[in-house]
Amino acid sequence: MSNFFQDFKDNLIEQYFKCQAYKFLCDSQGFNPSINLNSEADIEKVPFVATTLFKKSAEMFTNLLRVPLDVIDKWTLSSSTSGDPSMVGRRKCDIMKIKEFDDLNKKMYKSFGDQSCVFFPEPEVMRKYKSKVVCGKSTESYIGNILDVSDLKGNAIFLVNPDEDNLIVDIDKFKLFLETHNGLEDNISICGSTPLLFDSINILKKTMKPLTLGKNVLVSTFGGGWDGKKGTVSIGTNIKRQDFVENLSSFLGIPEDNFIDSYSFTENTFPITGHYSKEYKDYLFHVPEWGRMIIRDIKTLKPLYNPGDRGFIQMLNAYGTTTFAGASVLVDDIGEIVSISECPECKTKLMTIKIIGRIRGAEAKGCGATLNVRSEK
Amino acid sequence: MKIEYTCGSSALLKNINDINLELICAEEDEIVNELKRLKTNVSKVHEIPVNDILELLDKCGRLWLNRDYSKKHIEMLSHILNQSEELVTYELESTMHAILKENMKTIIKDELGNYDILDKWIDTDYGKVHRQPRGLMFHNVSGNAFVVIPMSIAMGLISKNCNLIKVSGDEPYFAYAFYNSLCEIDPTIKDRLSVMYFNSEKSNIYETIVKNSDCVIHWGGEHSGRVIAELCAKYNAHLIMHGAKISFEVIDDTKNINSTAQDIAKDIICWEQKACLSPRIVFVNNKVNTKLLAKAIGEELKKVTEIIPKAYLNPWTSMKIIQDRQYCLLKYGVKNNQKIEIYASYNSDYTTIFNDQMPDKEDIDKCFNRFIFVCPYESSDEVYKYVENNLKEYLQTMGYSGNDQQFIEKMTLLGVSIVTKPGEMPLHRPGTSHDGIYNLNEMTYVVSNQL
Repeated sequence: MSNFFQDFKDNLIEQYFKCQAYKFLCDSQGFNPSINLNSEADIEKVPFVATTLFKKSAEMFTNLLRVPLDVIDKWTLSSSTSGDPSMVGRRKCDIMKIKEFDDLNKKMYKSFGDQSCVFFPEPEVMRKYKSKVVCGKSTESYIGNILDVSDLKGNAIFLVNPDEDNLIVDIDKFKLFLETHNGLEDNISICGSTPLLFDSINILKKTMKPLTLGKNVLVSTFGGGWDGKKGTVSIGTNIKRQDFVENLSSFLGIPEDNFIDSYSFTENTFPITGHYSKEYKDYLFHVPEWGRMIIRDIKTLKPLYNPGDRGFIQMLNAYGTTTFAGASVLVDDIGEIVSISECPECKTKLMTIKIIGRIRGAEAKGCGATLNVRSEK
Repeated sequence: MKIEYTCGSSALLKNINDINLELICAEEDEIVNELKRLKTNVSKVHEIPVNDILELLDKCGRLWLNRDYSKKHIEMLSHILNQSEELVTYELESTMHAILKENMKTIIKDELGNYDILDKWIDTDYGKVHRQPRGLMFHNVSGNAFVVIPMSIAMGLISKNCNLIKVSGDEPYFAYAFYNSLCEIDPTIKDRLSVMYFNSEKSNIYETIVKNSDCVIHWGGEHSGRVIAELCAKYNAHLIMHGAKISFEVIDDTKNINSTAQDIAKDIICWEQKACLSPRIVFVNNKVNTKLLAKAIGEELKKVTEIIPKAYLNPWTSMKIIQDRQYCLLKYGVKNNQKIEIYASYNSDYTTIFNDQMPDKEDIDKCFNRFIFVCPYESSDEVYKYVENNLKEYLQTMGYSGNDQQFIEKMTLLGVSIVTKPGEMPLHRPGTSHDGIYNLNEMTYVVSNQL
């Protein structure tokens, strides 16, 4: 992973020639990576695949493979708040790349510590949650796969259990974990789903006095859910990042500096991790050197570079997308550039952004009809 | 911004494209009082001469045609509708021209047969005929194309009804602004016109209103239309239904591909295709150079976008077009292995999809915001069958270029209610029927006197 540009180019050329759908898309835009991708600057011209094409309802997930269907190991599934998950075919080699990124991340951020309390089901349970067989391959939760390759210790406590269609948090177990470590400054972590953790803390605040877990505790969230929804979980309200950190920090007695969040999605491979900034009252995410991100203007789609610029997020993967057309994906989230080259707070020499959130909209209504064919079925 | 309608006292905060609006909503008891108030004026309103009503509408139309007056409203509408000020100005001016006196006179004559029939008894072979208002009218208006509001109000006033207008939560501003401008000219308009907003989820309010109304005109969505229709049937209120519709163009022949493409582009941009009269698909006879026409439509959309740009106040519309464009390209081009070409901007400005097959019904829902399918046909029967199988219950305007009168006959028999030239789809001329009916005709009773 020493030469991102060359590796990205190789990856893209392979995708172009092995995925007919991506080639069709590129050809329609007059772009051939073996001809038109010659320098870092050309990366901005690389056609992207909109992540919604991977949705189950789009019925194109097999067309977005780079390998024959029988070669893939599984369909990795998004948690699907909408009930329409993304389905991304992956092989073990792609999953192991995620582990490599996870290991590299550990050099930059605190690790999970001696024991973790996890707001997700156990990895195997999570992976197989609502699993089905599609085109002869099993579906598995993408988050389950991430949990599987993460560095959680064997003594990790998983607080969430599936109960038919719902995910239920074992609040008593969480309370016991907190009480066990209260006042001891143990080297531990609380991690997992933002809405489940936030909701649990709000429940405990009604009956528990504030705690002092101390400066060695890491609060590491991942899997999104800042809009209060994740998969079948909904707490009915947006979660403001500042409120989340300040509430948890004061109730659990953990410094605000110890909060990190990871941003990724099923159609992408490398996660980006953000540390909380008291000054920005938000997480500042660093785009690692093994990936690239372009923030595109919502009107012109041109790349943006200035601090404060907001736009669509395009992720460029050089690694871990050997099975599917994930080298260049455009996601329906809005990001804001904090700095194009250096984190203003920790001074890490990397592009730094804030995640503003998911784009929301509604279908046209009124006297121009929508046929709603899907709902008729 | 606070919007205080004619009745209501509870505030509802609404953020539309980052504008904060405080809508003063009416509750059921307030609406009941408003209905009572309007009802007491039914006889008085009946005495107003049509000429006075047309004068009022004319003055109001001219007021709005004055750009100094309409500037602030255009800015607000542009923001709420996520349409550029240039487009709103274009739409507003054609809307206001429609309510000028001469045009309204034409509508009365064409719809009712006689200009004086609302004021007087007109001699006939058997005796005399006259038009009487239905009484109290409820207008349930949609928010996608504001042309509906002045037209519905104008028809309600000319027919000498008392009118209660419920604005749409998606666009709660224009009816309020238009009402205020009518009040500026003639404050007594309040006797026969009321504009309000209430939470549509409170279905009991709809029931109360319909129960107390003599006539209901519904513009818009299918679901709400069904609810209203059931209530009208229950309470025996006369229903004028302008439900959700779909329009399209057929280019059977053309002498000039570029000028036809220019006309089609004009039809596409108006109301950002959200109106019932907006084309979603263009069928082109194979004897025309279909690919060249599709390409020319793309080029014309590019040109017109420079003059009348799109607004990008909401990232969703931009993202959705990128997603839908890619979806259609890969679905038809790769998955279904059809011949497809896209003539589109790099961004979301415009998308013309040339496909040698006709699109699946569900993809017609993608045709908003300058997104159009262009599909060739060998025989006009293919168009007929496609429309019959996919759009029959939604038909409205057909933009048509050609000379096949038999085809026009067949399509109008199928349900197309207006046929226009390309480029004139958004311009329903005064006197044209709307969804197969005349509104003034529906808003009045024909009464006969044989004495």
